[in-house]
Amino acid sequence: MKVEFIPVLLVLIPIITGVFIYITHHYRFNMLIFLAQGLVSGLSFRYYMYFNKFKNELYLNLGNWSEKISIVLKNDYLSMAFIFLTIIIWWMVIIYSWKERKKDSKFYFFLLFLEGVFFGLLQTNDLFNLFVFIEITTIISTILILYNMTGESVRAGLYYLLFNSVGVMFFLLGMAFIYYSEGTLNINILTERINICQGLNLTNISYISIMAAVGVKSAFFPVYNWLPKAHSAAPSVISALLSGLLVKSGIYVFIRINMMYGLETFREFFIILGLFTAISGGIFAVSQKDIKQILAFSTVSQIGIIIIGLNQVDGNITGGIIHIFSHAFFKSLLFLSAGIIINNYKEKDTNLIRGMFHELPLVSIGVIIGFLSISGMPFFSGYISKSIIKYGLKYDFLVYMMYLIDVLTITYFMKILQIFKEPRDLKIKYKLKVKLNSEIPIFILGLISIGLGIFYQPIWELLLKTSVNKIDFFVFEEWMIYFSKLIIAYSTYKLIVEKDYNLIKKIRKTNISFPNTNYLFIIFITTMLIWKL
Amino acid sequence: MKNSQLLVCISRVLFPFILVFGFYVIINGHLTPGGGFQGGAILATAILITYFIIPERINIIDGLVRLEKHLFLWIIVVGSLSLITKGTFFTNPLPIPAGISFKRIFLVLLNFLIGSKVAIGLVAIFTSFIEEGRS
Amino acid sequence: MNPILSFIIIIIGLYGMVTSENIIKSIICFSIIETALILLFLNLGNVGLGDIPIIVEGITNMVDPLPQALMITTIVIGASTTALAFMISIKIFHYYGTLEWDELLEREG
Repeated sequence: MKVEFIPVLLVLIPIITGVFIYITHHYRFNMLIFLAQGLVSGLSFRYYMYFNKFKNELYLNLGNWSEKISIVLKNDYLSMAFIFLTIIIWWMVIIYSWKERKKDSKFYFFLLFLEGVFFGLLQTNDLFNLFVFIEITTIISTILILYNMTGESVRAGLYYLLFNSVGVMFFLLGMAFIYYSEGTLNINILTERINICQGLNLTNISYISIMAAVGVKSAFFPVYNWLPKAHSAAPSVISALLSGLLVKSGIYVFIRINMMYGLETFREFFIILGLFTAISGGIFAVSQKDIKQILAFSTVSQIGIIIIGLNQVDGNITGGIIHIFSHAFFKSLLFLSAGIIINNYKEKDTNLIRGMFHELPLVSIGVIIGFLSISGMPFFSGYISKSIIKYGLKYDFLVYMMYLIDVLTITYFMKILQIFKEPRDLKIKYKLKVKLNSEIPIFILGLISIGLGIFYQPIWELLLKTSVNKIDFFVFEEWMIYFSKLIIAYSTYKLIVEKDYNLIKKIRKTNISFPNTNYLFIIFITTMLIWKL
Repeated sequence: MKNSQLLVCISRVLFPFILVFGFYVIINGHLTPGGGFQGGAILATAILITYFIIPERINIIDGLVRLEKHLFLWIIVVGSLSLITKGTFFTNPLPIPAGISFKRIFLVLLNFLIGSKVAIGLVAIFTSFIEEGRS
Repeated sequence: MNPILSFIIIIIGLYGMVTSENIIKSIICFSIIETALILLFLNLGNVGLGDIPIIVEGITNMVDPLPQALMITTIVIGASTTALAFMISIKIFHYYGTLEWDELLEREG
């Protein structure tokens, strides 16, 4: 058993265990899932020890053929960090859902299969392999979204499937252009061979086509309509998984394709796109009442911030990557807490849930940690990434826009914080019970969020091997800015949002049907073509 | 649902020929164009033509789907045989100077497993549609 | 000539997706776009008067076998996506009683 085969084993072990659990429909075999997950964690640690001795990337050719004609698996610092993130979040999901879905073999089959395919997506070095894994992820996510078979989830599932499949078809179109002009589909060889000239030749059109597909998959501005419907109609465990991790797969492909092409003219376009995404996500989130819809639009808004962080003018992408990890942890924390709240109160509307601090103390602390992280308070993980992004921006106008986005974030979160108020009728006592296995993931994820906020320098320098600037926690200006943001958001909330004007009701009921979304997609592609000229 | 007599009659004649052609494409996959997937699709066509002849046919969808997963595990096992002899996944386990009549056992076996898996998979998909439409 | 045909079919498929009111028509338009892409890829490997890509004595001009192998996987993915989409539309008809995109937004399951 050589150490070099561990990348292939990381892909195969979850898939084979999932198939085995499905064949033997007996519920005692479901315990194998802990064995598989433990094996995967152990093997990835062993591989990280082996990987640390070399100073650069590691390749594995399947079948021992030469590099130009075989399928190659590649591991570098970015993919190792993502592998650790995947393992942690999958552990949380499995522990959270163990007690109530103990006898459900089909659910664990799909969950383990998705994990295996996701490991394959992170490690591959071949463009067509990437396409196949993205499509399989789409199909299995659809099945998991509509697992509960209610009316809402079936409608959201169809919309998600059709729209993502049309988007990924454009990825295939871009690949056809690349194959015609270069003759190979290996990412390393393409990095050396592609040279970008001016004008409208085949390589530039292939870049635009691939970016259109990546834009659909990771929820850029005009084409993010599938995300709020899918993430709010899914079961809570799957929402945490989707919002925390699978949306980031589109951004991972975005980073890899940008590293392959090395193109610089589109950076300002993506910064403007990120601004539009973040602000429109925030405005829609302010108008919603349902707790899961608010969190789903919040994901869109944070992805806008990540896109701004990944497209800095000087090419430094550290801020964006740190925000990907911080967002994964606190968004999963918030969605898992929302799952516990909805299970106990049997109610999704934030105007009707009250009095949570007495009933569920640990979950309340979890929600408060999530709020402090997402709003960027010092000592929590959101502050680090947002500061790094703000230092890298060149224009002052963009820094003021970032402050506006922060104010919008705190405003829509005030709606969720309503649940801590006392109930109007003091005689209602809920007598709620929470199982222990649902509280353990919230505890662990909260600890990780605080830990990433305080000990950021050793962790990120060890994992990403880049130097991170030292950020002071006790600068007087930053605390003043933070408290003024809180005050502005609170007054906006009290004056405008709580009264629930007609304009806000109209924004809440906006719903774009499927043919119109395709129309927006074509406008997106045409805008990119015009920008290139 | 009324079927036309002409279609039923021609399907009865055509069924064994399509079956033989499907097996021919699978087993000779290492010499002529074709192979596992293409032959499997032809086999699925042959089995589905029998829905014209006898409208009430296969009722065991669960058994078919589980059989397909069994075949998937066998494909992984055959693919990992080369781990013992040569040290990597998914190549021919016999060494290179061996005669061609031994080396083609691996190719024919793998083509056969993939072909039957594809055929059973496609039949299961279409059967579940017909069951859904009937109920 | 042949790549231009593929582009015309892709534009027809996109036009169909933008203006179709029925769910089944949208799924069929998706299948049309995918068939056009498979045709485009297969045309890239065609080298004029090539032969079958199996090594025998005396043949020098072969057709490129790589796009053919990749397209088998794409056909499988397309078939499974279409099958899954049809199954979901059957369930939608159970819950909502209609198959049009506009009425689907207004009704409640």
